[in-house]
Amino acid sequence: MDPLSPSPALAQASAPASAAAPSSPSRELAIDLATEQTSIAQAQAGDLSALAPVLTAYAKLLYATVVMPRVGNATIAHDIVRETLATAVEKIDRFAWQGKSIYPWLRQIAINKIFDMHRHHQRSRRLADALAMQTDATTDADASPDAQLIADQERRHNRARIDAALAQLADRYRSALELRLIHELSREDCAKQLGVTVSTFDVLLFRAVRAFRKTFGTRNSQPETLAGALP
Amino acid sequence: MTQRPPTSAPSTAPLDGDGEHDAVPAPDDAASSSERMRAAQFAELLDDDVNGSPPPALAVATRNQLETAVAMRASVGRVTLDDAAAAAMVASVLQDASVRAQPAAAVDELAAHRSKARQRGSRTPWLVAGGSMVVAAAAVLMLVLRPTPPTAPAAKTNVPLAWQSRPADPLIGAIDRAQAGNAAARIDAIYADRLDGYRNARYAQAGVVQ
Repeated sequence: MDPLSPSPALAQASAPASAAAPSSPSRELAIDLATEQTSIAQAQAGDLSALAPVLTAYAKLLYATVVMPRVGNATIAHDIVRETLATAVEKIDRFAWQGKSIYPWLRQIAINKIFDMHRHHQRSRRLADALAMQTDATTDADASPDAQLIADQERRHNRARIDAALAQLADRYRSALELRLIHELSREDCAKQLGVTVSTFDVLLFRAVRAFRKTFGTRNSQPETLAGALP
Repeated sequence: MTQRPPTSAPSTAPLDGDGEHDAVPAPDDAASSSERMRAAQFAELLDDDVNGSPPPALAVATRNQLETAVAMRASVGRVTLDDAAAAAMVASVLQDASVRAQPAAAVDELAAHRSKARQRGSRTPWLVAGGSMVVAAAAVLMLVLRPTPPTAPAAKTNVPLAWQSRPADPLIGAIDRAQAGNAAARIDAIYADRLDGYRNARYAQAGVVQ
């Protein structure tokens, strides 16, 4: 049998990604709208430190659900979130409270920063470009007033995009990606699940990531959409 | 998650066949030793990322591939920013904002300071010129009105002529042209004269009467 051919364990491993994906934290924000409104009012009155709890809560949300899925680089993502917060603090006077969380405003700033980053780094980032392009360029005015709901919806959307791209891959590649990147099994466990050696699994994963990148980028690349979405 | 140094060696070599436009082999295709090596390196990079280590410097193709994998992990909720990092980031942003806010007040203060300095600056040349003139006038007055220093009395020479420094002209006299080359004789005469004076002085000190 070819070392890269399917094994009986494949059926078990190739279950839909969403089935074994880490569930979204139901309630990870320790801040409510009233507290948020008070903090923003204090900041707009000159006490910027009042924003600390709000920004701390939303920095994590932005990093995990908005920036990292579109950038894939922890260092760049960290910088983008930081610049997002800095811009928000600098322009806090321009934010008008309308009974909704400040999170959509922060998210919009972060997405603009991501576009700026892609524009400045004129390098081949087809996947990242595609991820960025799939994002709504503007935050829906009718978005939920609750930041947590917005973030949960974004997580589901991110996950659906990944599942759709995975569905286009060969079974072996999809299984390798799901086991290693979604279920986060070790290389040894992944190899065992697929009935191959670790070095063979490494090759499978290597090719699978390339295939995913190619498929995702090709399917979603719409330069005109990106250009239109740029601020 | 604790940060640890990356275990993978930096990769800057181009990866032939891994480019954007290269076809991806089918899962069943045999892998070359080169591809296996690159795959193992990529697996280690991914391990490092999962363990929270920042990636080393990478070739573009490798970096793009790693970012693809990381973005996928992030899209399914596997990547988070811990509380401490978020708090540190926010604290840093707020501190920077407060520092940026301070210069506005500092600029106002500086402007007021400069205005005062400018006012002082317009008077300064006149003050310096006036002060210099007063000092110069005082110096001239002191020079004119200073008391005359007492003249030191001339020291009387009570020593014999032979002990004193004196010209040799009386001893040598005018030199004839014919004797112009005989300087050694003249030097001998002067030396003998001075030695005579020295001898007399020594005898006088020793109490020898000649």
